[in-house]
Amino acid sequence: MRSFELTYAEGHLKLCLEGIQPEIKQLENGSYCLSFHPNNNDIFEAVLDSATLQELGRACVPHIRMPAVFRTTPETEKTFRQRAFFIKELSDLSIQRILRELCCVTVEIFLWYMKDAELMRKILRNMSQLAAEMVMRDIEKSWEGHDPDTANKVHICSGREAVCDVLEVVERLSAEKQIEIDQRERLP
Amino acid sequence: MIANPKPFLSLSKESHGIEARIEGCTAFHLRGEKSFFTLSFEVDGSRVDVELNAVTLRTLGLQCIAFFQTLAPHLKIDGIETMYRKQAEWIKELDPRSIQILLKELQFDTLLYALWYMKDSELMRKIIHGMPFYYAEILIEDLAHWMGSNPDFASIEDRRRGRSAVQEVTDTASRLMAEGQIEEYFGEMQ
Repeated sequence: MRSFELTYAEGHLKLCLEGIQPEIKQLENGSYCLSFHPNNNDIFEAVLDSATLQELGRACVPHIRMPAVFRTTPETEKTFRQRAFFIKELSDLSIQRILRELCCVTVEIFLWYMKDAELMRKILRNMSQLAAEMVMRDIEKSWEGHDPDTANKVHICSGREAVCDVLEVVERLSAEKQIEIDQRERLP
Repeated sequence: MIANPKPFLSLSKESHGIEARIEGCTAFHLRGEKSFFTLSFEVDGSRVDVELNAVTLRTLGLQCIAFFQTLAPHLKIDGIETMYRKQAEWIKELDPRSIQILLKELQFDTLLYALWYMKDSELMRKIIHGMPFYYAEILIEDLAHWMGSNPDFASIEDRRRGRSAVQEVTDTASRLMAEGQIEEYFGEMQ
């Protein structure tokens, strides 16, 4: 996890300080010393004034992501699904138009994640028999026994992404007037 | 008001190691996203590029916030020690099974220092519940010696040991997650 490398050539100093903990100390003259000790021997220090350090902090803040343990509930997942429920109200022609834009895997994951028999029937009905059989077989093979409310992070993420992919296609086709959506069916 | 010295870069290679130092720099450039960042300084005709990963950048940002809390008041970081603790708070969100797996990977001393430093009764309860009764008793006994010694006012050496113990705990948990041995964390809180 820790990696330190230092190279210097033609006025260009390059330091790789991945995983090395920085330390900031306030100096007696009011400025700040930002230091990295990658090991017991090497050291990199930058003495910065207060305004520069504040500016540096401001630049870092948007990138600060605090890790959090995955916690989801059926209600949380439902909020992701809700955005796509209106699809089952679309006309058969619109569904067929949407399916032409999506790859098979996305449709399979989408159907698994949505957990909606009516939606599944509607989608499968608008495929060729061969395609519908293939999708059903793949869903059974890959997803049987995995509840999208309690699956692991990777599977749940794939489900959420599949919903986003499908909605993106729907939005685009709607904007291009290739399909018609009843606005009352959609969530804001 | 202190006048800024002319920016300079000094680079020396001694028998014990390399020392690089820049001073008087008022301009920098931070670029990158997600997992890899480069912090660049222009110093008297030379360029210094510092490559950081997301964890290092996070620590750097949080340390700046520790000095200038107005940068991110929502994080409620009122000092350097809080900053180090904040980065490890998610450990207590792990499920009991994951805690047990994590405990098997940690040295007793690391755990002792980390718990003392974290000052978090909920975390302590979770850890103790995940330990065999015999070890839990020893841990409680050893921790009792530390009670009354506030890590915020301890010597810098002890605080450093506490910080690195906490860092080791989070690094180990992250590694176990990456290996799929314990429940993965997901998403990130801002």
